[in-house]
Amino acid sequence: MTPPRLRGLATIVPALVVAAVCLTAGAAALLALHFGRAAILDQELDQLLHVAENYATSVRFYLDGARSTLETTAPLTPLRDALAAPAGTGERAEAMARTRGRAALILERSRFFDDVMLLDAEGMVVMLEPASLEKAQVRRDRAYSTWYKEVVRTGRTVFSDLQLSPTTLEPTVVIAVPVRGPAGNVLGIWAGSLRLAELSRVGRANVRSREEHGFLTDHRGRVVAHQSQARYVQHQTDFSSVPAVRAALAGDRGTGRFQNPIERIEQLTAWVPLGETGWAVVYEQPVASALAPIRSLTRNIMTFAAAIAVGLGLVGLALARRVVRPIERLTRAAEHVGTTVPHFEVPVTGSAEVGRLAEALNRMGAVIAEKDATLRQRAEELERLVQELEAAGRAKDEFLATLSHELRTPLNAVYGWARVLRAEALNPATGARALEAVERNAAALAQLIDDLLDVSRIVTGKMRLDVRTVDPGEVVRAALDTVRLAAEAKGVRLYSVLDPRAGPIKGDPERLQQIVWNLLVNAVKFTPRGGRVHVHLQRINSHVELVVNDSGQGIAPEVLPHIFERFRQAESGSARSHTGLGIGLALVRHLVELHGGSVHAHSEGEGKGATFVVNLPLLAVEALPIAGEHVHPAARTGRAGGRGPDLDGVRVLVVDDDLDSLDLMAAVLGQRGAIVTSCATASAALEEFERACPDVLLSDIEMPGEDGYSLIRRIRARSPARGGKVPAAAITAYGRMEDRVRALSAGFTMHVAKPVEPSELTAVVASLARQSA
Amino acid sequence: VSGHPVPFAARGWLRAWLLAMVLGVLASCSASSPVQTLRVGTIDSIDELPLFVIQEQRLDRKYGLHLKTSGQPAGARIIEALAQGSLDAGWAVGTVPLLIAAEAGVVPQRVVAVATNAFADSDRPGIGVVVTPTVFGWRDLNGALIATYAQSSLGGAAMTVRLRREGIQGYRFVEIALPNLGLALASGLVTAAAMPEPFLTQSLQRGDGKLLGWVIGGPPLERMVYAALAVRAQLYREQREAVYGLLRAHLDAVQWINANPERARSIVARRLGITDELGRQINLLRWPLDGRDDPKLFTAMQEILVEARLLRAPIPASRIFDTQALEAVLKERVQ
Repeated sequence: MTPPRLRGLATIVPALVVAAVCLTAGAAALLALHFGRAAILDQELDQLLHVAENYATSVRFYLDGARSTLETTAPLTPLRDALAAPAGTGERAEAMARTRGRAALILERSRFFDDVMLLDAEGMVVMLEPASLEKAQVRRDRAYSTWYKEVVRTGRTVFSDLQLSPTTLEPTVVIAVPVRGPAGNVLGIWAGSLRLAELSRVGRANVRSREEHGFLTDHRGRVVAHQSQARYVQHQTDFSSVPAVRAALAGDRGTGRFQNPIERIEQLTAWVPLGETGWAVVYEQPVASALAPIRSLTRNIMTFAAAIAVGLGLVGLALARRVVRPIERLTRAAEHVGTTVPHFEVPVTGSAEVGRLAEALNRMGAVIAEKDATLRQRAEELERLVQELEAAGRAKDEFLATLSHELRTPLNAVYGWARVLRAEALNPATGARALEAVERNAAALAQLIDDLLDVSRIVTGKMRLDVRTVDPGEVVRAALDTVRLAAEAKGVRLYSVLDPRAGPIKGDPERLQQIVWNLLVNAVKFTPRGGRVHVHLQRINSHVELVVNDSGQGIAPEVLPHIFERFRQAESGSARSHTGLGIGLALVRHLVELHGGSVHAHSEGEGKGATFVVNLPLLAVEALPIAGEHVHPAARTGRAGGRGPDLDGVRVLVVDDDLDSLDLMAAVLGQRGAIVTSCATASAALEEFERACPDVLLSDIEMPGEDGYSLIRRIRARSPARGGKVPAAAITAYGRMEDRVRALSAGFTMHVAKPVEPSELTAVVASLARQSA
Repeated sequence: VSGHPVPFAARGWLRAWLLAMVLGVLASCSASSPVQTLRVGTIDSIDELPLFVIQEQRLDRKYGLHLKTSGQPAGARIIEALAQGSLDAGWAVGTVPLLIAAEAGVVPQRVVAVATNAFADSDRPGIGVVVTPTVFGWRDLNGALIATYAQSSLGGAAMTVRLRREGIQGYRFVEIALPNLGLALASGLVTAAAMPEPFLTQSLQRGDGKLLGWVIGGPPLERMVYAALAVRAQLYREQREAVYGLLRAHLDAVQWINANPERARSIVARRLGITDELGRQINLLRWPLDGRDDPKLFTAMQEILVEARLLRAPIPASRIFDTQALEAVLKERVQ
C-alpha cells in the first residue's frame, strides 16, 4: 500500500497564515462592499442629480444665448425692411444685404448656429447665410415644417424638435423667432439651425469621469445632443422608451437605476426637464463606475492583505524552516536505518527537544550498527555453513554412490561363486579358487564395514584405543609384511628404512598398524607398475616421524588441502580409476590425532608422487622393549584362520531368523563337536531352552516378533537353576559401540559383530562354555 | 549523513512562478504571431452583420487578421475606395454598384467579388418605401421629393423601376444618408424614402412614416443577390492567404448568424445605435452558408437594372464573382 503523502509543517504553517490573512481581508472587503454599496449608490445618485441639474442649466444658458441672439436681432429694422419693402426695390435689396451682414455677424461671433435664415410669412427662405448653402438646399420653403407653423400660430419664439436640415441634410434643431411689423403683425421668421455638435460639447467640462455623460432629447425622445456618443445624434436614436426620458418629458426630475437600452449595462440615471423647450436632460453613470471607489477600496484592502499575507507567509516560512530543518535532518538520518549505510551521526543542534531526539537517534543508530554488524557476521557464517552443508551433501551423495559400488563389487563375486558352487560339480582346483574368491571378497566387505564403523566411532567420539607401549618399528614392519604381497603382485618396489631408536610410543598397536597399513595401501594403489614406495621411520627430537613416499600419480594442488577429509577422493563418479570409499586417509588423520600426533601430505603435483608424514609423540620415559608383535585376538591376517578349539559335548542353543546364518553356525559348531540346537524365533528358543537347558546361548538381535534383547531378558529372569545364568553371546550385524553396550546391558555376556569367522565363533563358544563350566 | 534536499513549500512557489513565466512566454509568443491588418469599408446597414459578428466573435484574430473599419456613405463609395486602393475589403457592396462598376471596367480589374454576402426575397425583404402619413398610394408620389441613400444603389434602382411601373411622374430624388432618411420624413422634408434595415424598422417604430411597400423583396425585385463581399484586386492576386482568412471568417460568421438570429439582431442594434427592443423587430436578410452566388438570379435581376437604365446590358455572374478562393476554402472546410 502506498503511504499517504503528508504535507510538512513548512508547507502547512505559511499556508495557514496566508489563508487566515486572506480570509480575514476577504471578509472585511466583502463586508465593506456589502454595507458600503447601498450608501455609495444613494450618495452617487444625489450627486448625479446635482450634476444633471448643472448640465441642464448649462444647456439652458446655451439655448438662451442662442435664442437671445436671434431675439435681439429680430426687431432690427433691416430685417423688417427686407420683408416689408416692395420686392425688386433698392430699399429691399439694401435691407437684405444688411440682414445678410447681420446674419454673417451672428455666425461669426457666436458658435450657436450652422446657418441663419430669414423666411417670409409664406415660409419661403428669402435669405440664407452662409450664402453657399442656398443652392445646396433641397427645397427653399419651410412651410412644411412644424416650427414654422408653430411660430405663425403662436407668434412666439419656437424651439423645433430634431429636424433634418434641407441644406446640410444633417440633423439639427431650429430656433425660430417671429419678425414683427410696426403693428405687431408677423412679417416673417428669423431662424437659425443650432450647431448640434457644439450643443453636445455643452457641460462636458463638468463631467467627472469618462464613464458618465449627459444627453438631451427633444420632446419625442430623440437624441439631440450627447456628450460622448455622436452616433446617437447621427442616428437620432429614440430613447422615448427609456423610463428616465419619459419621466423628464413628463416634467419630472429624479434619479434611478436603469439598464441602458443599447449597451445593456446597468446605470445610475438622473433626469431633469428642460423647461420651455419641452426637452429632457438625462445624466448617466454606470453602476460599476459609481462603485469604483468602493471597489478600489476593496482592491486596496485585498492588496494590503495580500502584502501582509506574503510577509507573514515568508515569516511563517522562515520560522517553519527553523523548526523543520532539524527535524528534516533527523528524518533523513532515520531514513538511513535499514539501508546500506552502516553508521550515521546526526549533529546535535536546534532546540533542546530536537537535540535530545538527535542524541537518542545517534544512540539508536550505534546499537543498530552493532547489531547490523553481528547479523552480517552471522549471515556470512550461515552462508558458509550452508555452502559446507551443500558440499557435504554432495560428498555424501558421492560417497553413497561409491559405497554402493564398493559393496556390490565383492558381493557380486561372492554371490556369483556361491551360485556356481551350488549348481555345478567343480573340480577341486576350481572349487578351491572359488572358495578363495568368496573368502577374499567377504574379507574385503568386512574390511569395508570395519572402516565405516571406525569412521562412525571417530565421528561420534566413541573410538576406544587399547593403549599400550608399542614399538613403532614393529608396527611398520607388520604393515609392510601385510602389503608386501600386493605390492609385489603390482610390480611396485617397497623400500624401508626403520630407525631402531624410533620408539617406544604409547598407542593402540592395532590402530597404529591400521595407520601405516592405510598409508602403504594407498601408496601402492596410486603407484603404477615399476614404481616405488619408500618408508622411513626415524626419531626426531621428541617424536617419531614416519614418512611414506611414493612415485605415484601425485595429488593435484586443489585436492591437497582436502585430502584428509572424509569421503574425499581426487576422482569421483563412475569413471574413476581407483576403488575405495575415500575414508582411508580420514581414518589415518583421526587415528593419528587420537594418538596425539599429526599427519601431513605433500605433493609436487600430479604425476610427481606424494609424501605423507606422520608425527607421533615419544614416550616420556624409556619403555620396556617389546617382546614381539602383539596381535589383537580379532586382528585379521588377510587369510582364513585356523580351526579353533574342540567343543565336544557343549550344548549350544543358536537363535537366528536368518536360516543361512543359522545353518552356518550350526555346521561350524557341529563340526567342533558341539550339540547344537537351532531355533528361528525367540519363542521357539525359549521352549527349546526349557527342554534342552544349553551350556551356551548364541542369539541374533533383530528378529521378527520378539528380538534378542527380549529373549535374553526373559532368560536372565529365570533362576540360575533354570539356566538364568547361562553364558550368552549376541551375534548381530549391529556393530556400533552403542549396540555393543545395549547388548551387554540387556544381559548378554558377549557381543560379536557379524560376519563371524568360524574360528572366532568356535573361540567365543569355547570361552563361554568355560564360563558355564 | 548525506541526504536528499528538503522538500519545501518554496519549491511549490518556485514551480508556480516558473509555470507563470512559461505561460507568459507562450502568451507573448501567441500574441506576437503575425496578424495582417485589412482596411474594411462599412456603411450603416444590415449588410454589415457578418462583419459585426466577425469583430464581436474575434474571428478575424482567429484567422490572423485585424479588420480596421472605415465608415462610408454607400456601397458605391466602398467600390471606389477599393479601386483606389484606400480600402482592402467591404461586406456591404451592393450588387447594383458592383454591376455598374463592372460596366465601367473596375470589376474585376481592380475590385473582385469573392463571395455573395446576402440574398433578399419576399420572406427576407431588403428595402422598403416609407412615406409620410399623407401618402395613401403610389400615385400620391407624383411630383414628390423622394429620398434614397444613393440613386445608383439597390434602393435607388429598385425605387426607380417601381415608380416607372407605377406610372409616377414628376418626382425628384434626393440622396440622404441612411440614418437621416427617417428624420427627413419626420421633418416633412421628403414625402417618401427607400430604406434598408435597420433604419426602416426604426423609422416605422418612431412614427416617422408608414410603409408603402417593398421594392427589394417586393416588386420589382422580389428576389435578388443583395450584396457581395468584395476585395481589392491586388490583394486578391498577391495576398491570397489574407483573402482565405476573410472568407473563413465570413463563413464562420454566417454560420453563427443562421444559428443565432436573435443574438444577431441584438448585435445589429448595438452596433448601429438603436435600442435592443427595436433591434429585436428588424428583418434579417438571407445569408448563404456557402457564400456562393446564384448566377441565374443574378442575370434575371439585371433586367430590372437595364430597365432602370442603370445598366446597358446584363453582365454574367462569372465576370463579377471570382469563386476560386471561395471554393478552396469550402473544400478545406469539407475536409
